[in-house]
Amino acid sequence: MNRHNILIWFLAGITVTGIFSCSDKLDLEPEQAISSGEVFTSGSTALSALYGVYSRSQRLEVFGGEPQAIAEFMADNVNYVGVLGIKDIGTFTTAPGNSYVSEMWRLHYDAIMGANAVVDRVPGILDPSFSDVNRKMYVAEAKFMRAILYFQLLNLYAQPYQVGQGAQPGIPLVIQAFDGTITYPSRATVNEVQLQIEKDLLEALPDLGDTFADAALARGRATKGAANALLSRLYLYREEWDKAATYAKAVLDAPYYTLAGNYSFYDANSAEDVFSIQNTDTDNPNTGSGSWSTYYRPVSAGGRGDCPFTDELIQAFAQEANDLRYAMSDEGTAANREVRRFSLKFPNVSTSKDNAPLIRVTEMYLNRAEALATLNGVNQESIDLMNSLRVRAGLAVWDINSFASGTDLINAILNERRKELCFEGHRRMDLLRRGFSLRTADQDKKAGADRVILPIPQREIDLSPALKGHQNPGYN
Amino acid sequence: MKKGVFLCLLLPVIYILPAIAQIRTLTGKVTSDSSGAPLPGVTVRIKGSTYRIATGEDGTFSIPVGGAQELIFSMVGYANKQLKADAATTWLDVRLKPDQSRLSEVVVVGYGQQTQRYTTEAVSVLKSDVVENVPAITPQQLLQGQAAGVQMTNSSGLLGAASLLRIRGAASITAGGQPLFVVDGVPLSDGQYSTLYSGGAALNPLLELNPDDFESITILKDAAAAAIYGSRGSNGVVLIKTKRGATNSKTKVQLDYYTGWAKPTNTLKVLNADEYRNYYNDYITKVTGRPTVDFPAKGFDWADAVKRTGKTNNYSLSASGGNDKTKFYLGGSYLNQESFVIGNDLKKLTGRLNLEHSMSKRVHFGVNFTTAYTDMDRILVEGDLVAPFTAGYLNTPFTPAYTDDGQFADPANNALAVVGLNRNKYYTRRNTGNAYATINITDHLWIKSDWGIDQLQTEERYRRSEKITPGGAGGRTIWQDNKWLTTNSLNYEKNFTQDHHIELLAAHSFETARYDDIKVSGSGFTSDKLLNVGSASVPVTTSATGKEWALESYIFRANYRYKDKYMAEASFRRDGSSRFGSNKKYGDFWAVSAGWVISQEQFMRSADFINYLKLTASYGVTGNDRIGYYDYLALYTAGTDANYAGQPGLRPTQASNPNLGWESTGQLNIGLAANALDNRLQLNIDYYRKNSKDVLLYVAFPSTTGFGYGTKNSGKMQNNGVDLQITGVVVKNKDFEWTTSLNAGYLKNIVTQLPSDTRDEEGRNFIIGSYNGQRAIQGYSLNSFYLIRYKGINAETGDPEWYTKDGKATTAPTSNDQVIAGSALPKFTGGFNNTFRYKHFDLGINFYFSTGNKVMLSEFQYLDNPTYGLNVSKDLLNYWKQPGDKAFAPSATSASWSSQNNIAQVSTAQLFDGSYLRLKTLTLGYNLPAALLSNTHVLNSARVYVLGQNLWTATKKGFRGADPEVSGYGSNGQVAGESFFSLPQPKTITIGVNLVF
Repeated sequence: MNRHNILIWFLAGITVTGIFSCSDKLDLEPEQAISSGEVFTSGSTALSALYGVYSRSQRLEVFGGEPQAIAEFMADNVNYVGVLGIKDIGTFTTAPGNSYVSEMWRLHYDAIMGANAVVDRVPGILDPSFSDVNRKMYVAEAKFMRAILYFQLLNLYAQPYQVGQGAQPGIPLVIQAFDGTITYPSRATVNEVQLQIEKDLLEALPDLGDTFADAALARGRATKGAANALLSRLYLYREEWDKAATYAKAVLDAPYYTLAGNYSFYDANSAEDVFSIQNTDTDNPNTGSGSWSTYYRPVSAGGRGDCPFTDELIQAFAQEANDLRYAMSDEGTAANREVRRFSLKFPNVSTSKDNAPLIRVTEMYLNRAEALATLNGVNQESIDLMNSLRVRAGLAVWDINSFASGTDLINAILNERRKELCFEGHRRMDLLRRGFSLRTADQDKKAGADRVILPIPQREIDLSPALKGHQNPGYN
Repeated sequence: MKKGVFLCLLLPVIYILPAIAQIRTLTGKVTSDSSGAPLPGVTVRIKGSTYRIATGEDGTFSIPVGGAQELIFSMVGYANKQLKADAATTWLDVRLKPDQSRLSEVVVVGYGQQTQRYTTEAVSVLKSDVVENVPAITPQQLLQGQAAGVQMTNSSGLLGAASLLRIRGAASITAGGQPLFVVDGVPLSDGQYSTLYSGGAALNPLLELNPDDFESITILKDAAAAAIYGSRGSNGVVLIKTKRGATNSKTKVQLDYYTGWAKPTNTLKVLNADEYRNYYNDYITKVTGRPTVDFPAKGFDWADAVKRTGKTNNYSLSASGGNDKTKFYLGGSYLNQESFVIGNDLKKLTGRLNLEHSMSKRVHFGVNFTTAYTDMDRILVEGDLVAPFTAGYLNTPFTPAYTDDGQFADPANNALAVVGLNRNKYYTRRNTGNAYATINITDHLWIKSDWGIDQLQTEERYRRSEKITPGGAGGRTIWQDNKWLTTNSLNYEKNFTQDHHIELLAAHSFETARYDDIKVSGSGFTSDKLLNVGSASVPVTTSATGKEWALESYIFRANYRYKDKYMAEASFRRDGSSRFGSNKKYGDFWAVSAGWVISQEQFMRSADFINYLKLTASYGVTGNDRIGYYDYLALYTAGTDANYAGQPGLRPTQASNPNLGWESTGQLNIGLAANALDNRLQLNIDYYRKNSKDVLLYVAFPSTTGFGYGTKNSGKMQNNGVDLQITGVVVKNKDFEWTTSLNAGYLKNIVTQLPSDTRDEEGRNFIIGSYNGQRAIQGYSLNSFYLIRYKGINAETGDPEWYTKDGKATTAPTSNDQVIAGSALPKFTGGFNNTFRYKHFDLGINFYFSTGNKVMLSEFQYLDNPTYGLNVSKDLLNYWKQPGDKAFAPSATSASWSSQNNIAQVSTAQLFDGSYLRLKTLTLGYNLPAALLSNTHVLNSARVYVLGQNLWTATKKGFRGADPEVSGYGSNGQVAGESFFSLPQPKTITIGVNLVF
């Protein structure tokens, strides 16, 4: 090998080195994500950011079944017989370090902050093809989502309005998008949070759509009907009976919602649904740890068998024979290997595709009937509303003479409410707001008592100076 | 000393020597055969006489001789040389060849090699003999107890599991803290590919390698050694060199085979059927208020049903050799392992070809290539209550396993059914190798071009039976991580005027890897015999994602040596990484070091019991870039987690951080190496101080930001330590040899700064590591346990008690009573190894020890709680019955059982002293005598052996776990020393044979 050849080799080596020393090879971009700056630049990406908010609400820990199952087993509809984890919530012995308690909290804010970004940033999008109607509607939908998320979170972690007329500590209230600077909001009062929920819903109401052509979107996106319905529930919880009745009527009067003729409406996107989080075979809350059906279906049917009927709920149905709602249940092996009764409202164990029935038109019948009964005592409209439900359930109708007092009627409505909405996550608040104990055998579990609400997660207390020393009483 | 006395007596004799013979003065010069440098201090003596002199600074000597004599030249690091000088000779040129002792060994360092004698870097070298023949679950295990300052913890007895390996402590907190593994110059990909079904199948980057192919493992410990790997050097670098052939040698064929049996080292003690029956009716009924139960006469032994005798078979065949131009090494192996846990199997097939060819005197090229295939049957991770060992402990003896007609009872919750009916396969395929060419431009200057790949494909296939999931479910995921890199270097090495030795390196490297995954899953199968997703009626997941990173580097190193006595080295690397934003894309890393071979000095000549003494010092800066691919960007991510009602969605997943940059570690190292007593005693001691700053932290944000977590550069940490290695040849004669060695590492880790976002009750900054109280606390260890302290059962009341912060007993401790209760980091780790050879027998005894660390065994949060309806620890039988009882467990009527303050709540009740001493390996081998072998005409050597692993373990009194060696979270550096039913290490016996043809 002569000198000349060596020189060629040497130059070749240098060239090879040179080819690859281009630093633009270091500017790599993600392939499954786009930068925040690019999201709020067009109508279509803004809509995707809005869908992202709904999507985060599908989570097990949000509207995917876990908080709703907790609302049932902290109360008297369901026994939690599964193992470990959230079991201690049902026995009122949970601790602030419980990871279920902290993940529920975290994922609610995760979705809320997504909604805040839409509310804050969609108005500033400079896309000429982005219509004003859509622009306002997306913001209104995000406000609705923020409202319903705060509503559920507040119910879990704060005492109901009835304790101190809403002056009790609520939860941190954040209504701005995250700008990169970490802030430490302290707990707003229950009133402050509820008034923000009311404000969001009232502001959203004019801009929300009436309905959507696609059945999944008509039931799965926020509409005027959904906002009216949530306002009705909010006022019911706040004992503003007149408004609760009025907003319930707004839903009942809307052409899009009618009481279903039978109980095949679950997961059907029918006119029974006012707002239900949409789940499909491929897009659902099952994160490996469960969904509505894994809680509520027995082991023998492929669920986890965590949440069978309580004996009290079975007795509530047994008071009147042949209740068609009771027929929506079967027996199977529970997680503790006992044979127990389980609900059939959420049957799709294999893919967890059951929609989350957050607001049904039935509830508007119940809200209005209860509000009117509270305002007016025994009254025909309440009885008529209730009879619509009783006929559907295959039970005898009531008449004005069935009840000796308004209290009797209210209690009867609440009993119907229990049988209609059982397993859907209403029971705990329905008991607390009406001053009942969560357990018949333990009369100390009333609103205002320690541990009928969840602890503020230790994780958040550790992370925020504003929350230190503000744990709910009864937890340490 | 004896020698000195002897010499004194001889002196008069020497003086009179010239008088009795015709004496002349023989002069000469001794130089090194490799470098040509003059060698001072070489001992020159006349054979048959005890007269000796030493060569001077310039390597010259002069010695009076009479007539024809034979002279012996000897020096540490060089082979002895005998030369005949006839009566006429007056001048001798002597060239000494480096010998094969440790000092003159060539050690692999980053982008090159150096001799142990002259290196100024702190490295530990393991030779093939310590890694061969050991049936290791992970090749990292081979490093355990073999190198000072290397702490290796097996995460689990699960086959194929990753392990926690720390070289001189952790330099990183939340960023990847494992060392960089480099095989023949190719840095291995070591991503973690988490799987849905079997949990985090953190892939072991060394799983696909065959330890029998290793020639050496070099662990780069200080900055001088690791800074050449720049942004990836902070957590140490492990260089693996594989075997190659030898030129002009007969082809050597080697066959290694072993077979073995495994059992768990120890198991947890839970109640048997009779105990449970009585305990339930006497105790649990009182705790829970449930009625007594008339249990069947016979229970089921779950703990026994989930284990078996593990089996291992390993076949390894290799051939190596070469002619004057080409040398080769060819190796292949097949390993078949069955774990002692049901359902966990591993099969591994590897092949390797290393080839080197000299085209001419100036041009050489070669290739190293290995390919491997593994096939695993995996089981659920221990955290799952249906995982075999977890269920084995937690199922009560009256949890039915089978129905009366022999079917699985309650298959969905039955660990035996899950193992028996579900399929859970994991495959990996890996091709790693490089091709290179070197061209010598002059005798002293050459260029090298090296091209490498590391292509990894892993595949998970699962199929859940319809008996467990109605309709059945199945899925397949393929992950690919394909890397290529090129390194082009210019090298220069020359001696000037015999005293000055210079080596220079300049290189450019570009490395990039692309990760892709494809996931499909479906449900609704008509038969369990239909195995693939294509047969499902409902497609559940169809997903494919990809990502890429790139690293561009400029590398420089200079070595200078003066008179083989004073050494200096400097290295520099500039790395540019795609993982950081434009503000911080490039990072500079460097190191300087110096060495002084004191034994070469004139004043050390008299201390002739010291053969070699070297002092080194180094300081340098290394980095770590192991964070996510795009952590600096504010992102909205698309996909299923953002989609809704069939519409495409986007969700915020990451907050912006344009200033995200490298974490860097400055390390000071001072080392002393000494050989004494004819090199029979070797000592290495290194002191180091590592300061890490801008530590990359994956910190928790308040949830009200919408982001649960984010990556930040904020944090400082310090690791101080001492590495000590002592080796002594106690006895060495023809028939008997005994070598003993101790290596130990002392480590003190302090987190010196953390962001003030999270503070504990006493105002100290911390970062949560786990829900079991483990956290990094400013001013304390990275792996501190922050817990309430358990006191015990009050002998008078039968209630459990804890301590308040100020040490008072309480039955209702609060989070304010938590204190720092210890660290998961051992203070001392190391090995104590002995080898004996007597005639044809050899015996190896290796111990590993770890002391000063705490372990959190969270299984006792369940096994000590009878309210769960699960089986419980045998210790609970010792419960309080009457005042005065010193009981383990509270009274059945203790109010604690209906509150969160019961003995199973997270506290120091589950924290144990994790110190242990373990007989890692015990080997007894027999080499067949040469006479016997020569009769076969084919065999050159043959050895049969028996090897036992983990045969004996000593733990501290009161240790209740199955195994003190736990790291339940694999390579996650923030969580060490925790277990949740972690599989214990196996106790194995293997018998094997090594045959050379």
